[in-house]
Amino acid sequence: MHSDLERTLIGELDEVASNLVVPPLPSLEATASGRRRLRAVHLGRGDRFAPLLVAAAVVLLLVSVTLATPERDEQPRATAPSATQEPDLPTTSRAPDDVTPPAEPRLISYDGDGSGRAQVRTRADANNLAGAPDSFKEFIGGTAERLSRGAACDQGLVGVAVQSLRTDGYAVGAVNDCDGGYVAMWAMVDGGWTEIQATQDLWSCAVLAQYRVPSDIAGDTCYDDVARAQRPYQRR
Amino acid sequence: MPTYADADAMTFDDYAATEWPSLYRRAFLLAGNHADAEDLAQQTLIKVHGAWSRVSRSDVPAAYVRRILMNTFLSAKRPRGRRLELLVGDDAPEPASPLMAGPEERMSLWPQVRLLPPRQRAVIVLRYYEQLSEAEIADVLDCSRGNVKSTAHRALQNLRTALGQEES
Repeated sequence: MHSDLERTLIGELDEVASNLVVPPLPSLEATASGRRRLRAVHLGRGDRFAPLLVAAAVVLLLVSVTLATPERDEQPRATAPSATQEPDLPTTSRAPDDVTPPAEPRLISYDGDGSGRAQVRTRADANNLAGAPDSFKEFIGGTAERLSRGAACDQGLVGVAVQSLRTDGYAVGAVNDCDGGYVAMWAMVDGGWTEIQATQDLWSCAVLAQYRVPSDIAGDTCYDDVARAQRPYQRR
Repeated sequence: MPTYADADAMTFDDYAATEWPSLYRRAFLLAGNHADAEDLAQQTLIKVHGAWSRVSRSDVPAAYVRRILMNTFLSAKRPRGRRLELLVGDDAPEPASPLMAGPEERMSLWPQVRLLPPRQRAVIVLRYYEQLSEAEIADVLDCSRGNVKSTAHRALQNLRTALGQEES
């Protein structure tokens, strides 16, 4: 038995719904990859920078090969041990004294499955992040496992996707859970990794400035909350 | 919402094409505007696609999808950028659809429904649009019947109060 209010409510909801102009179904192809599309605002910027990133990586690789000792190197990609490049890593053991001093930070882009990022669902996945410091692997692996454990759905996308990492303590990627996803930026703060930004839109200029995030992680634009406008961003 | 006797044979494409209008309508009633409704409906479809093997095997795919829709809508995670989008959306006037302009103007409750907190709106939509029972709503929202009852009570009370203020 409905009251007058409830009957009016039923009538109005029906009327709103039946008079709606329903937009066309989005392209199924786009929908199927919609999670990626949602994040394209940010990750797309990275794509535009892909040639530059590749070039930078090649240059850094050449420099590191030049600096590397001629002894046998079991890790062809590795340059100096990562510990030498993150002075504030709390747990990583120091490299031997004869290792070359800290070089320029390296930018590592992950493209594990061709998607432009490495999917991490477990700590084991995180251990496959080539070149990443142990502290980052531990942090991301733990984050991904917490997400997976707490997942109230059976979607395979739950977890973290790492797009790129700078060995001086910055990384960018995406976080997915059953409720959706967002792009995330992580940084070493006070000796530990932490998520400094999460968004589906532009990075905040204020946060980028606060953590001195380099442009090869953040891209070349950010959102100025004070001016309420997008503006260029540049930091080495 | 139609049920699918032969769900195993149903492809996601078929399902999406058939269900999109209904999904969008429900998303609109929840979100209250076209931009967020489209986003919500699309995100729901994405999740349905991700869980398709399970959805298509389900006895009642509609119930599964309804739950995904509600979880997506009620998701507390509103990333910073999303909040910015909503702020802009709130400020910007909703483009009036030619078909909506007439009826909506003379509606008394719908504008107030849009102002209810998300969970109350969800209960209102499930109860008075989808015509679900309290037990069914409790199942969708994963809560007790008492919780549904009290949420619906508060929602109706808010609507009555809003109407009273409007009339006085």
